Amino acid sequence: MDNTVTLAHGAGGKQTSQLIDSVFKAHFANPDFTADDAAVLQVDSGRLAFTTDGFIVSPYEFPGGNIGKLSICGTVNDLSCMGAKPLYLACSFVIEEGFPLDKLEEIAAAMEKTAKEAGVRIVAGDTKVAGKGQVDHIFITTTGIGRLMDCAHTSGKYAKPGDAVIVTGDIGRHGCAILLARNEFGIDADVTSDCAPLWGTVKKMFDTTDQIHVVRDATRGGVGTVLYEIADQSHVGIQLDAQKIPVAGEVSGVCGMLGLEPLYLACEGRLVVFVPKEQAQAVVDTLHQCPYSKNAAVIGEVTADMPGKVVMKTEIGLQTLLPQPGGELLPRIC
Amino acid sequence: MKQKAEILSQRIRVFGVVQGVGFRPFVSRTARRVGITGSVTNKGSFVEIQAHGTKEALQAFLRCLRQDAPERSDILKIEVTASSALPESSFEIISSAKESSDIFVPPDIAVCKTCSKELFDKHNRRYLHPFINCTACGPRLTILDIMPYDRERTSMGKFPMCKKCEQEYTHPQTRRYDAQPVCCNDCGPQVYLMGRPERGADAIIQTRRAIMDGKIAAVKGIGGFHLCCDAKNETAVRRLRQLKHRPAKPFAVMFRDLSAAKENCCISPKQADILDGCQKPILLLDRKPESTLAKQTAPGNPRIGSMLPYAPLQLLLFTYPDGVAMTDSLIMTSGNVSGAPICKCDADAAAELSGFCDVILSHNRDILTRADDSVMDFLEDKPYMIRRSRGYAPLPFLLSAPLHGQVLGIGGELKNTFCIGKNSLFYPSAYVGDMADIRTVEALKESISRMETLLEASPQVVACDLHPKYNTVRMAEEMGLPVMRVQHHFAHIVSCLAENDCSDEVIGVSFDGTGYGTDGTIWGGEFLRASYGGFTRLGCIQPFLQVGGDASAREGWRIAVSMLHHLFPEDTPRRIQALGLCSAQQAQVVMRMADQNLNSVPSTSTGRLFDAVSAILGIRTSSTFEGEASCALEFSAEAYQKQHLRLSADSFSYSEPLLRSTQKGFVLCTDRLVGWLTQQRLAGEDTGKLAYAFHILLADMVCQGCRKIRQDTELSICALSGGVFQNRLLTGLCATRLRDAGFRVLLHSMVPPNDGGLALGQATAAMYLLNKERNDK
Ligand SMILES: [Fe+3]
Ligand SMILES: [Mg+2]
Ligand SMILES: [Zn+2]
Ligand SMILES: [Zn+2]
Repeated sequence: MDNTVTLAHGAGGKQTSQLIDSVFKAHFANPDFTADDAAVLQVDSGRLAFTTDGFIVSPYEFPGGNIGKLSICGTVNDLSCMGAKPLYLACSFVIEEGFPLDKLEEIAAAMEKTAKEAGVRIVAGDTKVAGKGQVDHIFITTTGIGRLMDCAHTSGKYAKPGDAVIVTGDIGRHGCAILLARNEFGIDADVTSDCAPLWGTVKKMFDTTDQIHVVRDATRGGVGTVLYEIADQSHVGIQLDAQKIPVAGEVSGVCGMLGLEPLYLACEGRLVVFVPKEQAQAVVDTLHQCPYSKNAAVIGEVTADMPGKVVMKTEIGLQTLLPQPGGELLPRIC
Repeated sequence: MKQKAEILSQRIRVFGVVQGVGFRPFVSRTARRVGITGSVTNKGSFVEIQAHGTKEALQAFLRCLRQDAPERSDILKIEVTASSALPESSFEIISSAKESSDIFVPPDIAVCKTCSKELFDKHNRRYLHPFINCTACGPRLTILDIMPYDRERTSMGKFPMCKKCEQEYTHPQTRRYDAQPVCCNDCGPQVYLMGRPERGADAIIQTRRAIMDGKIAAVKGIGGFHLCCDAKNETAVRRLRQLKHRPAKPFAVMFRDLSAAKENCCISPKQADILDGCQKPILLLDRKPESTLAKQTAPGNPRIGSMLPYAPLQLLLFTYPDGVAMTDSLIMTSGNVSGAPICKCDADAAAELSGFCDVILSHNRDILTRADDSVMDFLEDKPYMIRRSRGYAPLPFLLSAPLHGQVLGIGGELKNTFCIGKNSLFYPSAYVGDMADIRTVEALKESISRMETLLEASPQVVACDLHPKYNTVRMAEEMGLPVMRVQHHFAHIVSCLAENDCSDEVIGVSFDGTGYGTDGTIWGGEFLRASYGGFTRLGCIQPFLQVGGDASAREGWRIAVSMLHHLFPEDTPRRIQALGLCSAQQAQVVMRMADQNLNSVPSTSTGRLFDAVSAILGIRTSSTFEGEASCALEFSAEAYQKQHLRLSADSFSYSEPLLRSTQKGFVLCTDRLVGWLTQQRLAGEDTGKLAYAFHILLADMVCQGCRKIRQDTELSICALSGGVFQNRLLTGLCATRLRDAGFRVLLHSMVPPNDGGLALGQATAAMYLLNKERNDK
């Protein structure tokens, strides 16, 4: 019984501090990590970005990562998309009674490693233990603060006709990896999640051009959902070229078998970027130099007509309206 | 002594296209010929005749009115009542007091026999004129801008008439009196090759040469461009398939004349009348074994979509004095990217067709409204419409109920047509196409506004489907009118009621691909208690899980695996392997998806049931075009039926129940049927026999379902609608069984049973609701 999380670990007494010391402090140690009620931080003047995100994923371990890595990437990427350098994170854990301690250890280690890579410090945390069956293994919420670069003025509202639409890598890996991990279809496909922290990538893009209109990370609803959101927010049309959308062979194979559209599978390390057509090549060249965007590509362009609609040109010359996101077909993947 | 015959008086009202087509002079001529006195007058929405004569004379008169009506007229209904008007001594035309309020937009008419003769008469001044036409033939709807139909409001407006043409146009005694598109070799439009210098005769000769060199030509016709090549040149037809990304879907063939068609196809006298009539639709005809058409024309299909030339330019493609030895059969497929609207102008053709063809023969008479070729089958020796478009649209259907108001039925997502309803008249549009392509959506918007202008209509309500993801539904919502959602299968049944002008409550059997049900599942094998005013769902086929979303509509093996997984919990993989449905891995994926409810939705789609049976019987495991697998199943059954005429259900020793009752009504035991077919097939039974047994047993189930409803409700009229009833074998079997059981059976004839007919149903249902609301107030 020693090697699992118990209700006593969450009671606030000696066992709680033991858990925090042995698992979390050991991994998150940094000068700003607080032992008090709140972390006290010194911030430069300028604009701050501030966000929070909860993570529930089943299974909590998957090819290419675990919920710990995911919880850091999610918040780091949300900040990065605003053009904000991620500075500090707070993490809140809800752990199911009976959760293996060695797995918790692995999750914390993944968080440490990912935070380090993203250059962000975990400065505050909280741990609760819930009774058996009250949560599905483990939930993590991360909250983050970042400092906006002066040159950053991106928003889903700023897409303009004539912009190129760029995706920073092959799409749908995360959703596909989770589906396979969860359902044991017996499909022989080696799909790893694309889960990755993208601050470095975003920084390099902003170094390349200051005319970045939109950066969004395509998470739960996939690239398709992001495109519809932007078409709607900016009152523009988006025209995609189906043949240019990067999809890994394994992913398109799995999608074919399951009857799913890769554009609506979740990603956790892919950005959708809108820049003026003239800057597109330079941005793509930069992306190709970064570790998580080797197959970045221009997948379409913004049009003035058909505002709010996303149209896809297919291989045989059809111009299909991409189905609206939502509906009951897809299971909820986080 | 012979007693003097009694003189009767009748008031005859004729509804339909009876204005501006020489109808009243015809009535007057006929009356005088058969000995009727009285008068004829134009009453606006109908022509009214006061007729006095003997019983025999009146009968002859009515018969002649129907049989000999002018070619351009179209009688929808004749209403006869006894009249108390006093007899008169002569027959007069009384000039009309009231102007027309109901509008009849004329459809396009195929080139007539007299014009065809003039076309090839060296001494006629319209010798070889590609645009020859007369009062009885030529384009109408496709060149019309706004009503009334006068030259300046057509795309002929920009071509001034020469002296001679004007003379004909203005003199009542000529064949071209008031023929709006009249023109000749000295005036009017011209043909040319796009992107090349050839014009007129040279353009036609070059195109003919290209075709005989095995090339593909795009040719501008009446309602849009066609892609064409020599239907006897295997290589050319195969190349067209590759370029158009259309591996197997049948191509239509245009034959030079009726005799060329007869060499290749079996044609009944009634079919010949339609094939060579004034609308010239594509008719689905049985191919003769000795036919020399390329195999690639319709691979694996025993039938040929056949038509005859209907535009003078098409006649010239076959026959021209240039010494080219021309084929007598051309592939004529619509000029578009499969799924996009047919191209109607040079810009479209340049953008979309230049990759598909070697030469583009165009002309400068603009097409204002697209009209694809109509497609027609025959059922019980009567026309059975598959696609109602050129030649028929937008002729209205008239309901006898007094209705008031204006509605728009926006149609469905595939094979879209829309329908405007004005009072008791319903005008279904020409074929628009599949809404998956954004250009089709735009074409729909454009056609709706053109038709609203032509018909002087401003709908108060727009009716659309229930499906949350249809583009047509979104369009309806964006129109700014009150939206009325009409359930898909109910709309099918209402379209059948409207076509048959039946305002009774009926048993509607709606067998279909897929439609969205009121419970959020997929429907398509429904028994509805229905009338114009609404419906209740009383039965359906056995629900199954439709696994894999849209992929399952293309890949029938998925449905088959899902059904077998449910039917035989033990030993499924072995059966699937023995049937050769798919790989072991594919089977496992589908079964896991069904178990986990991933991308799976409960469905009663009969179309998918057909696909599954086609896969289980080893006929087709998937489809490259809509209906491929289910048509192949029908063909296999028909081939078997032909060889074993006297088989009945008894010869299949089928002992499973046909139907079981449920809390809400009943379900057909189609799952048991699938199980039985599987066992029989695994036991080595003949595929064709099982395909036929499936049709017979399903028809038995349909009949059983209708009997059950009759027991509970005393309804005794059955209406059959939905895309599955394009299957002639099933429809015939169902109709026969139902009639034998004492039902009156309503079938489609001039409205397609498939989604092309939905709009009429939507518009009619909306009109009834509108009138009910008004009466309730
Ligand atoms: Fe339908
Ligand atoms: Mg997020
Ligand atoms: Zn004529
Ligand atoms: Zn002339």
